Amino acid sequence: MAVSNSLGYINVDAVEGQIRGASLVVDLRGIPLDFRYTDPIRPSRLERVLYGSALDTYLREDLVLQSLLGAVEVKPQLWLCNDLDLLVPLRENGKVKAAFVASSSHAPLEAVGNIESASEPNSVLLQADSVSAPLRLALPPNSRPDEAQQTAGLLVEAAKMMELLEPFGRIQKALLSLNEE
Amino acid sequence: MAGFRDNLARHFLKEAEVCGSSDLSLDAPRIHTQRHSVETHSLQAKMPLIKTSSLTARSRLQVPNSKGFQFSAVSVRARGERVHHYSAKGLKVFGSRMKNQHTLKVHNGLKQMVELPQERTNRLKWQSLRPPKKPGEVILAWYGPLIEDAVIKLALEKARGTLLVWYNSQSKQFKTGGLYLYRRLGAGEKPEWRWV
Repeated sequence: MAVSNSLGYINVDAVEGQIRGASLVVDLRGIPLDFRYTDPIRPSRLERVLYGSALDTYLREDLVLQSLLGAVEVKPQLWLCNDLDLLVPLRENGKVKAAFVASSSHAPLEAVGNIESASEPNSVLLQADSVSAPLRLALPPNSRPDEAQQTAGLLVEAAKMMELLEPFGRIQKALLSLNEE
Repeated sequence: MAGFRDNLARHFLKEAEVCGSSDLSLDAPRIHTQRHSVETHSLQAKMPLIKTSSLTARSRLQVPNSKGFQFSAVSVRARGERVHHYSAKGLKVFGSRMKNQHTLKVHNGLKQMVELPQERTNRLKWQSLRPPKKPGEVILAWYGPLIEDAVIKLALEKARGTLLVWYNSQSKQFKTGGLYLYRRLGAGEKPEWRWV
């Protein structure tokens, strides 16, 4: 059961040959409701040779992402990722809507809530608030038109109370401090 | 032919005598029959292989059924020998899920996460709302949106110019605002924070 008025952030990183993932669910003020992180995985050299690039995809999308999604107890209304490769598996396994979000250097759009097509394929620009550049937003292929509107509406609502991309940075900080423990 | 021999003799200054027969007919080559025997062995090897359905799909491997790979029979023609029917049906590669190879533990880190501050960047350049300021004052930064009544602690990270915000995670407040950072020009003047 998804908790209304909440956003979920997913991050899967590969650093120094180790793959690690974390998910953070926050309310629309950015206050954490659920935070999960995985142990890092380091595939063996033999596995890398045997499976090549398919191994990385499997570890990130199937193993880490699915493990995280299975462990999260507070299901968000919308999952957000900052890696386009995770968007489709996130939508398929997350059981709720999913979107890719990233910053852009585009000039502000005319009004908050406005959507324009972006130069990148399958992406749009969303003016989520009046105090930043528009966000780059992408939905999984074959999303219904009303899904885009609902997603944009929720992001605009959240942007009134929080910086939308800030939780991605907080996840990184949390993983760093957990590494130091 | 004699002229040719003389030419060669001159070339080698008579150091070597060129001998030969004027009869250029060659012996007929000997023909041997090459009979090769080909040993065939049936392959009964069972090789464990790590795979998953998703992995095979991505690497475009064809797996006809869940039991393993099944190679088709192949005819091998050996020249000079009868045609043998070579079947590799004995070679099966059995799959096991790669998931079993990696165990992944997921931890609950909510307690640690709640203690971390949120970070706000200075978005003054985007802020069209300019609050009144007294003569001699300049606005250095604007941080927002912030839930003023939920704030426990604020700290300015001077190196990055960002504001660190600790919220009370139990707060039920949702009213938003922004925080301006002012500075009065003059020696000894301290920066001042104002909620708007």
